[in-house]
Amino acid sequence: MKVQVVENVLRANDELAAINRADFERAGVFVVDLIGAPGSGKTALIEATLKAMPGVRIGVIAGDLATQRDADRMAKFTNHVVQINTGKTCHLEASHVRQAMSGLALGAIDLLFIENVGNLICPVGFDLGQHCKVGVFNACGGDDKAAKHPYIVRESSAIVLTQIDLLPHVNFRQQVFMDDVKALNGSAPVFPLSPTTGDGLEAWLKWLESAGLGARQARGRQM
Amino acid sequence: MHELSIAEAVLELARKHVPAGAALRSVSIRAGRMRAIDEPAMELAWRAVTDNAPEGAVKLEMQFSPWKLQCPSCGRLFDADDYPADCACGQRGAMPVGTDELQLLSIDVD
Repeated sequence: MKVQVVENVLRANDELAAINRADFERAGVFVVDLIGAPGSGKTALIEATLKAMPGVRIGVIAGDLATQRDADRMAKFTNHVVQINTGKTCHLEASHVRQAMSGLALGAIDLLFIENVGNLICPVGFDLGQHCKVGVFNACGGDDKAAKHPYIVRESSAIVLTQIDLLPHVNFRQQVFMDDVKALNGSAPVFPLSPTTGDGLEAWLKWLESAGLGARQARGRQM
Repeated sequence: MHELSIAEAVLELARKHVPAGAALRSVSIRAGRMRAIDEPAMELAWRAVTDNAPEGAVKLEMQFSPWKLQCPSCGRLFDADDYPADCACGQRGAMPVGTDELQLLSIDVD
């Protein structure tokens, strides 16, 4: 006997993500899911943001298969860090974030980065309760990566291109990359920057403010 | 390999729709190409999650929706089995605008 279903396979994940999102909203936290390949500079980007925004209370959920290394790096700049080790799973799911939330004082955080497991494919389709996804690409990774990974580009509210200080040393055609991003997602701004030198960081910080951090901070001050 | 998480989610969702007293025999899913689900990997993942399951062997049927591409030159929207693909107007490099659905369509029970 056939039973018609026609339901979203990830319904359970998405329902939990909605609960996460509601809790983030209640606490006034702006949440960004950073998705990028291993070595694309996600941790370096968060470190640079932490250093450049000392007046903003920033928290981090760091997702990796193993080790505490990312959490240890960020713990130098913020007390609000939780490391999630997924073991074999190549992406974070809403349940991982729910587990991490129990280790964070959401009322003491304005901006929460979820640093997803290094992977440009698998994490994209899993809602974690974030307010926006940001795709992280890097100059050493090749200028064709946006075209090769259309899902993350289309799902991202913004794209960050890291390691621009290395552009003189690699065969990365920045215009090819930018054109591919624009063709896939005309509304996502691209932020070429270097977490190492700080070049381009200002525009990224301003975008974080305008994308949701500023509004939530303003609401917090009114309460 | 996100196919494993997806296989687990399919089985969990399918179980919720099995009528009382019935036994799950097969599931049918549809996935958009943007989801980057590899069919052999999904079959392997399905075997891994249903091996030793109380239901016994449960068949997995998969449908894949074609890519929805848009030509950057003439703007035409068209379906394609592969990405990248060229537009009929001759323009190379049509870009994907979909699809990313992931649905459990139906289950078969005894």
